[in-house]
Amino acid sequence: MSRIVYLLLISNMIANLIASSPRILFAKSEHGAIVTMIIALFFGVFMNWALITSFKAFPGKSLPQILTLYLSKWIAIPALFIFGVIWYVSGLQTLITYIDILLRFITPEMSIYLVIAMFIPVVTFGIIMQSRNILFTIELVFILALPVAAYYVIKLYFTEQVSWDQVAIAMTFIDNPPDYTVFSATTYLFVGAFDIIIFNSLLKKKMTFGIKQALIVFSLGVFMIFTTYFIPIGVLGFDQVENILYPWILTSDSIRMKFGVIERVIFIFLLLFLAIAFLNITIHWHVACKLFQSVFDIEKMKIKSREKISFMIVIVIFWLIAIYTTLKVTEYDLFLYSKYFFNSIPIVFIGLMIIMLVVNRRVKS
Amino acid sequence: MDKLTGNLLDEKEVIILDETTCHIEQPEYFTRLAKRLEPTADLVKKTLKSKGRVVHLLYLKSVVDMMQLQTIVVKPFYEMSPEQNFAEYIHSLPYETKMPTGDEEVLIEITKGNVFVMIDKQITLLELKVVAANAVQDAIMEPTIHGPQLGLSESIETNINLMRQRYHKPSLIVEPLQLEDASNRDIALIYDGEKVNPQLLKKIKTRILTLDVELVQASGDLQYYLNNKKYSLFPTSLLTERPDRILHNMASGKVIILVDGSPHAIIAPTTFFDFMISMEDLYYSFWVVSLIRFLRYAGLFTCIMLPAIYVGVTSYTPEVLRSELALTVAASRIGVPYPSFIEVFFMLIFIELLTEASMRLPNSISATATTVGGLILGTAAVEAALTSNIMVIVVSLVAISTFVIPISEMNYAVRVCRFFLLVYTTLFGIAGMMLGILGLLLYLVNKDSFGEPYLRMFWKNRQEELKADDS
Repeated sequence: MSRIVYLLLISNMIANLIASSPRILFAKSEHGAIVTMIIALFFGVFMNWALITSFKAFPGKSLPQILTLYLSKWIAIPALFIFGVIWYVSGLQTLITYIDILLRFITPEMSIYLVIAMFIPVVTFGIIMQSRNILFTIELVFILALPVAAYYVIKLYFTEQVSWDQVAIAMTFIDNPPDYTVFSATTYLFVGAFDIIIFNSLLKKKMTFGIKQALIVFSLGVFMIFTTYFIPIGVLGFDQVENILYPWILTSDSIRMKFGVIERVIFIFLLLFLAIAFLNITIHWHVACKLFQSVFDIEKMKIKSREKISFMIVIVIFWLIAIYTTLKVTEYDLFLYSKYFFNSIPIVFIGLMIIMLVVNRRVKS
Repeated sequence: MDKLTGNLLDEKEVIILDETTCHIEQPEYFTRLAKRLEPTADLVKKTLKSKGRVVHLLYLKSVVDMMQLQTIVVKPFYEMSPEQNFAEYIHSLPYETKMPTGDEEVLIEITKGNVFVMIDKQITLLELKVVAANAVQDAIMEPTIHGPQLGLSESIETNINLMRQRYHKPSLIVEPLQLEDASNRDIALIYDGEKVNPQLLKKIKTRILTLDVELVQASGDLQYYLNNKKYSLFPTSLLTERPDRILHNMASGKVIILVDGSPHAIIAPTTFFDFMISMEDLYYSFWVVSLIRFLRYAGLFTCIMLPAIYVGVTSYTPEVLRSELALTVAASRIGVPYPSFIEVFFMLIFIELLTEASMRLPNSISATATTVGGLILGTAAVEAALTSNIMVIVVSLVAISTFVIPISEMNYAVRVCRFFLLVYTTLFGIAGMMLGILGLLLYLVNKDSFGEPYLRMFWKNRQEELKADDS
């Protein structure tokens, strides 16, 4: 696997830390969250294996290219359209969540329009960049953010606020039957690598997914799930955690840096996550943009700068929908819709895998 | 007036010709060329005649080395016996340059300091130019303690000589180019033929040859024209005066562009990180260099972000800082009559003015300017409650850390960036600052210099990675 696939995976995992998925997990903490998470962990590794293996035969080709080559138009176009919608919504979900967080924690007195306006130029610029440059940006942001993030995680694990007894209490609910919503929310942590459906056109080397890669994905998953779930429980307490809107933000606010210029870790945390969330939105929307472009088959149009124009149209539509929903959606709606969205993810995954299976069959025969 | 002097000169020439060359007619081609150059005062057309041989010389005496001309051409001409072939002798001279085709090109060669020699029907150009400014200058822009102390000179030949003297490899190629501008300046591409990417070389060459500019004065404006984008903020090629930097870059496959009459060389293509290297980094030990590099990048981040942080923290989210510090900042701002962003803009513009002033003034006065501006005005501004104490610290820190960046062009670009980020933070607060930085990062990543990515990390084999991108 290319290092870029890992970065995509990790960026998605981290972005979900602040989004709705921890809340879904905590809501079901007495109803089979732990068992489901363990199942989802293995399923997540399987998902990544299936994805990489199915794309093995097509180095340097993106999903739209593959589908137009090997499938009939009547299947390829609806499939690509659905994927486009899913990718757009996943970016939108991160965007709305983060705007909500900004309004609540960093700039409460700012108007929502201003906060949206803050994102528009930068995200738009990010989307219209070349694919390879987006990958380099991810890499750079990771390099810049890594020292801070590592410090933060170490601080979290070793702070005195974490009560490991509460974690032990949470562990006792291991014998409950599994739950589908938790399963899909946890699965969503592992879908970061799916962005290669577009970025694969840049990964010219043949990728392999052996034991070593499986172990890396597995250990990343274990670490992320453990951190996502047990650290807030340890800090906030098992009984309280399900009532909190943004458990992760409160968790980070409970840590202090005694000798730092910035005393409350929450601000470092929020700004760091802003960077990651921004990357997440940019990547997802870039993928969605490319998928929509392939759906509408813009290359057939005989206009001089068709790519630019079509990009612009897609982006304007993206933003109009985003602004409308951001203004309309309430806290409760966001949670509810995120749940529906998460629930659809395993189904979409299975759909994608079936398509790839068919395509792989056709290539062999 | 012109006509008058022209006529006068003509008369003079005629008189001289009558004295020295009795009855020998000058060939038609020779007179045609001479006509084109007239009526300049430094034009010399001479006809030497001895023992049945005739040689016509045409040159501009202001650019030709007279002594050499005397010893190499004139003296042998009169000392040679009739059976010796003077034409053969002239052709055997090492000073002979390639004969261009076309009148215009020949005239350009003459203006460069070549002597036009015509024996019977044979034409030769001898390069006997004299260059006034071929002294190597001290490195002023990028001084180092270790490493060479001298930079380039203003003559292209001397500069090429400097390169050759430091890089003994047959693969070092010097390729002359001729700009189609008013000055017909000599330009030379220098590169290591084994290491340079041929596509890149082609790209740079076509870019130079297709330039449509009136006058190129120095490497600086050539670099600007090469940039090709009018509103580009960051430099995509590096201007240097240090031979060691040139060689360091040439050895890694980059192309050097020299312009005659300019003590700076252009290095292309460049990445962002090239601008953060001081040549001194190569001459110190690992840990020292690591520390210096760390300081330099810390300085870069400080000078871009600090004013924005100040605005974001004081005007939007004071709770970011620990409470004691937040109180100190707030206390120092007591009495300051306007919001923090005006204060920051005001002070930043003030410090830019100070920098600009101390750069333009002669050395002896600039020290006074800095003292008056920095110390006296700074203190007075604080006492008059026009600005806060902390702001003065912020601004001086910003000013100092800007100068940590070793290449001055990057220095300027960063200064502009700082204002962009400040505006974004003023509009959107501390979250806006973070997004602004990301935007800046995106902008830099999206940039390229002659096809090479401007800002990216190279982990594995660089060539391999670059190859994988072509799509």
